[in-house]
Amino acid sequence: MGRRGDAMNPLHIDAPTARGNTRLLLAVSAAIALVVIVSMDQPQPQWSWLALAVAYVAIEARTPHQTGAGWIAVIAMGTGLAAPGALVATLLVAVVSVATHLRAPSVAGVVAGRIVAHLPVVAAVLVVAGPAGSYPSWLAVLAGGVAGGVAAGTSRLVGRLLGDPGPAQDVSVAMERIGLGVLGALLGAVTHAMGPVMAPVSAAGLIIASSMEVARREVETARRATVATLLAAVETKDLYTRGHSERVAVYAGWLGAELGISPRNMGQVRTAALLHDIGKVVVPRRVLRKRGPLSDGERQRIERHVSVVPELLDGVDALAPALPAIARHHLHFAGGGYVGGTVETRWLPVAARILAVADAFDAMTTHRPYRRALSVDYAIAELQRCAGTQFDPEVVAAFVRCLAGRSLPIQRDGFTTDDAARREAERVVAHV
Amino acid sequence: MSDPRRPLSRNGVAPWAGALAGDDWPVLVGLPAVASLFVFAVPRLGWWALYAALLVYAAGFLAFERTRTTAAAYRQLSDVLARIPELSGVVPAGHSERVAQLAVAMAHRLDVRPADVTAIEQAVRCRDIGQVGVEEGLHAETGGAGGVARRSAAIVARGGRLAQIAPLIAPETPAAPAVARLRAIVDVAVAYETAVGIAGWDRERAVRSLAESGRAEVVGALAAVVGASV
Repeated sequence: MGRRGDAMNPLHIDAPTARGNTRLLLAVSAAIALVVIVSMDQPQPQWSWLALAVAYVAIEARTPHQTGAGWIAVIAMGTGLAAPGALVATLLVAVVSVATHLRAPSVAGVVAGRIVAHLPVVAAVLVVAGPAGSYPSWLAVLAGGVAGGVAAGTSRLVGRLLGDPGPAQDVSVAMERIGLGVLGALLGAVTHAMGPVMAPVSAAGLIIASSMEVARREVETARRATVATLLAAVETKDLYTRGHSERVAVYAGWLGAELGISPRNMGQVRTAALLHDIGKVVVPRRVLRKRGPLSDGERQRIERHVSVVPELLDGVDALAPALPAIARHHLHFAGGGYVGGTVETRWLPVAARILAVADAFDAMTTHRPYRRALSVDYAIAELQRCAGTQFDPEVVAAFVRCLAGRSLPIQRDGFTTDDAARREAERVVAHV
Repeated sequence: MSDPRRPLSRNGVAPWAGALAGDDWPVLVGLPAVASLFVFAVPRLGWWALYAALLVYAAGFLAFERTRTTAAAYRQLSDVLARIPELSGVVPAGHSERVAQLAVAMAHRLDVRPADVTAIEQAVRCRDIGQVGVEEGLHAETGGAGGVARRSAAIVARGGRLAQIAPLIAPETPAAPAVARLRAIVDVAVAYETAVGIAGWDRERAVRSLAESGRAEVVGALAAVVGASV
């Protein structure tokens, strides 16, 4: 940001991108409204397509890493019904989209994803725009929906192939994108009927619509930032707990897949796993690291790491789905154990049962201040011995199946420093 | 704690009124502008124009809701970061809330723009999180108050958009004059509340002591807010 920008906004506290887009919308719609009104009965200016292309590029450039380019292209497809000039805009957007992602953390993944995501849309533009003007509006709407769905599906497929499923790729996101595709085609139909002068108006509608996509990503970023920040706080208190949490999240991920947990619920399980010991931030470090046996008072302070959780995370919407599991992960399958605050003890969610097994296994197989690490075989035997009392036997059995043929993310000093394990842990943190 | 469902409302003002008065006014102007333009299309297109307009509005509404959710999420995160040191017992209960109220009042007094007032409030709330790694007797070893602030800033730096307030927390970081002024508000509010609320100093003594450290404009605002003479 330049000097003037610094003076206006010294902290670089950016307004949410959705608002930023809306400002752009205001500028575009105010300027173009004038053009529309003035030229309503005039011959349609050809340069309005250039204005549309510039608007598309401006939108795309404003939202690096949060692109709505697919939907912009879908809209271009709709407008392609009216003029082949929109094709130029589409291709331009595709190029800019790729270029703006070159600095992304995972360049290959993002670039490949964007290219492939654009292909079906560009193809659709070529097909639909060929015999321009010969299709009815309802067909354009249908084509827009299909293109949106194809783009969403392709995006997800590419993500899976690259081992990066991306954020919240669920049905609601796909539906949203299909809706945006329909909107794009609808705007295209409007433009087609009214002439190119309507294109900037479509662009204004697009800016509002694309802000929905941008805002969704902002919500996800905020949720991940919440987890990452709390993990950083835990790390400040006790480095072991950080590594332990990451490993428990890895084990919980394995277990969730083995037990057939849905992708949406898996996110909650991973979040709960990463933050299951968040309450330890209020336990004195000398108690956490004590080498000898704990006194009754110290044991109570340790148990407080669970009982304090409801108060600690009260009102944090992003973590609310994970809270029951965090507060109950020390509750035993057959009764007993301890819980967070005054939570209901008769209900033991599956996520808490998963956490209990993963937590116990990692605690046994890593060095602790009061004893050295136990062997994996011993830990498995211990889990099986306690199945049905402390642990859910079904989860224990699933965990034993999970471990077969897998290398464990264990470094005996208590940290997750093995490269492969570290990468997996980082991926878990990135996609909670 | 603030109501997370109404993150844009301040001082009891309805969200829409807050939006009208704040940074959201382009939205309130932009959406009717789009609507009015679609009106032109109705005679030619009939219901199709209405469908398109409704879809745009639906998308815009969802975007607003999500923007509010995001704002609430960061607010809630700063609340948790304020709560942790208090539950740990390293700062007295209610300390961060008192400092936040004081800092916000000072910022209003100094005509700080609304976005920066929010940043100041969040910085104050997050400022003590670095204390959680400090045990009794280890304070000097861990870098003293500066070390705590550095750790706090490092933790906040992981917080997505919340990272933007790190310059208000981290000491000894070169900052533009405008940022330094905001940081001074945070520092003075924290120092005053620590002196009065924790160390038990009286108001006059605390303000006089702070006045000796310079930052006359900010200390003047503090004196005006707490009703003390400089």
